[in-house]
Amino acid sequence: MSESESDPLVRISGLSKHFDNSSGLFGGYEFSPNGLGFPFEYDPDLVRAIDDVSFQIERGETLGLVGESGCGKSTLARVVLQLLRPTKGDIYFGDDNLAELSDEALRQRRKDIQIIFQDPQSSLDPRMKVGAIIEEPMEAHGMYDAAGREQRTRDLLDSVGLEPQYYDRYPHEFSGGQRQRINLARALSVDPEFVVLDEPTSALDVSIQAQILNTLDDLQDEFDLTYLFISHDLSVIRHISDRVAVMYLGEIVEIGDVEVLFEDPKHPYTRALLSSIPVPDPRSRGQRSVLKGDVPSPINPPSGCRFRTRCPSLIAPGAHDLSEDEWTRVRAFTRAVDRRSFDAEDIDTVYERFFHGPLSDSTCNDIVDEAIDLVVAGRWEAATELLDRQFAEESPCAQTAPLLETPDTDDTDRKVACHLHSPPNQDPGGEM
Amino acid sequence: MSDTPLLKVENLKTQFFTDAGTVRAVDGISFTVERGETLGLVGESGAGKSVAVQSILRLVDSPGRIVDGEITFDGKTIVGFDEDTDGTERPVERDGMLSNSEMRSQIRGNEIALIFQDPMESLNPVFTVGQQLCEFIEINRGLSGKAVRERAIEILREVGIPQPDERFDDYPHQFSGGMRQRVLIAMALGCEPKLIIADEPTTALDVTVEGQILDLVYDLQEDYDTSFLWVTHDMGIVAEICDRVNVMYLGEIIERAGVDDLFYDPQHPYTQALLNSIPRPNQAGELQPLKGSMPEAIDPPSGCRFHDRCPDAREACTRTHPDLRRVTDDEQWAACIKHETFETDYETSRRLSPEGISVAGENSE
Repeated sequence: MSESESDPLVRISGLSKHFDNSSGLFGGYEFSPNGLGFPFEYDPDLVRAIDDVSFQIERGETLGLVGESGCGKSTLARVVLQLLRPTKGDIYFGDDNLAELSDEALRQRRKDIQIIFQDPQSSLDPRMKVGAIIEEPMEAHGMYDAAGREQRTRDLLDSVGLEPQYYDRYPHEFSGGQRQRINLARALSVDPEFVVLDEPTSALDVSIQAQILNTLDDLQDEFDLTYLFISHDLSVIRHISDRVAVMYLGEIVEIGDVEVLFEDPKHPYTRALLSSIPVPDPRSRGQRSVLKGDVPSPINPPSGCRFRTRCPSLIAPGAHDLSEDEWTRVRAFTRAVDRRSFDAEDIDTVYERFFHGPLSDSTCNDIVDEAIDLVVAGRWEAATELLDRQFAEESPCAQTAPLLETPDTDDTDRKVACHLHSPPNQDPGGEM
Repeated sequence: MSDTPLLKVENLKTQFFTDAGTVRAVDGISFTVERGETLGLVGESGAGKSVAVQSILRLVDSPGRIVDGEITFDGKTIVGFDEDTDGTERPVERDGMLSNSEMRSQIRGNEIALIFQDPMESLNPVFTVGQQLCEFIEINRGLSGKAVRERAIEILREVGIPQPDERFDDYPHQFSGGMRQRVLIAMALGCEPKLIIADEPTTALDVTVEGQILDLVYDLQEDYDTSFLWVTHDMGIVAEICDRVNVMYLGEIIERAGVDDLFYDPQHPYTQALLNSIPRPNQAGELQPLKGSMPEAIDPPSGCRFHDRCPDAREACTRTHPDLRRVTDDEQWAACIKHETFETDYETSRRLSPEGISVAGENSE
């Protein structure tokens, strides 16, 4: 699929964007009396919206970026476009590192990089006519003379599937799908090489969405475009992308060719996402599996693998000797205690509810007994803390963050960040 | 008693009287919701799904008005009209139709609960979640004092809110979108209604959360035996939870069928086109989008309202306005004259040229 050794159009390496979440003049300061000196410490709450993300996009391809809301997809788009300056990392566009360009050089470069937003309504000025809207970027970059711009605008309207005589109309005269086409025409007016599409069809009806997706496909061929297509909708991603990157909580957990990734997802998160979509086929009803819980806060992301708090395949701690079934039960119990989803009346009923018999590992059994005692005594928090410390925190997934690596040597394009798929001959989380 | 449908809507017409003209948002739809079933109401935006729902609860705002039809719920008349005898523009309400205060005290919340699309807008930001839930239970279930709080926490736990006794005192903004939607479901369930109308309840949520909510609804339906009227534009959800489906287009129901028949043997070209236009997670390939976009309900096309976008349209379609008829031996109903039961001149009529409609342009203006 990819000519990976050739030169990619966009190369992003080690990109991070953190937001300071503390507000007010002294918002980031915390009182910490430590004997001598100034008893306040500067310790701002950092929202780690994107953390150490690297990938590249080849010329002419469409990279789909998928993830739940709050995982950093849109922030990534804005940082790639330099609408937000990154905290760390490089964004190579061709030969230039956008993160280091001066303001004026960046302004010049913007001609080659355009974006389409989700809401076609709010991205068009209601007081400007369609013609003026589409000509504005060309004017800003000093392209063509007035007559040339008008001609180009009319041509563009035709290319995106609108009538050239719409030139003199206002945005409110158009439907949502048509407005998104106007946005497309505006983005294409400066002849960009790279277009970022941030959920371009999620505000549209399904039948209109299909029209826009097909138009995007046609335009890519006609204008030699490279797309970064952001969406939470996996069906759309599958339809439009050549390669797909899956994001979770500010990190890319899996990236690869679209067919390979959809047919054989490696990362437990990708698998969970894929199996949670309702398929439009009543005969495959009930085949969904559902991922439990919510995305944790990016202010204090979980240690190690960020997905471990929801991961159905969390690796059992090496210190304990539990069978797979027992490990599943322990985790169900931990989860129930954390959510307080049951009434704890006495020790036996709780034990019966979660475990069929004593655990094969006596240390684990003691821990579970202790936790049940705490729960029955009403000390839920202590029980949660105990179980977390003894089980979840002991898992290899909690101790080292998995690297985004190629799981098998046949398909070098494919990368997964999961301890279950660490390359052979390496310890989990070992040196790269 | 239990043989009669729970909700029966007959020939419902709701119109909006605007300066630009009369918008026939809902134009003579009929359907029933049986006890314990989940009925889907599907269509694109502008099809009239939400107005239909508002009409059932008599929540249509001015300038909109229910102008004709009959809605009965569990033996009570929600909407009903007598023959127009006084010659005025407004139809005469029938005796025995519930008064506005009876609607409030007996029907809304109590018998029919509604779950909206946007969970933030449906919760009051200045009261805690617990307060709002308790108010609901107090009014509709006649409990008081400690019993209310206990019931509220029990329901919160049932809908899967973690640490319900602590979250009880949180404000809506402290909940995530999925959690808020769970709270609304908790409110709806708190009153143990016979029917829950869900108006695109998962549209604003992520797929993983959507899956959680669908599972929750499924489990709760088993426990409470509630009927659902599920309004959505998402065929994936329809396939997942509905028993029977009504497809709406421009204020009318154009197809009704069991869910399996609808997906595997659709009888109306619109349903077929809708199914062809959705990207599916389990296959790639070219989409076949529907041409154009839905016309305005203020000035619907003549004859069959879908004829200007229909791949099977013929000249007869511009003249004949089809009603919803049973078209197969199974319970499949469609409003399309290509079926024999309509006995029209469709077969002999001239095909409308498909080139007459540009593929990409949504030239509806």
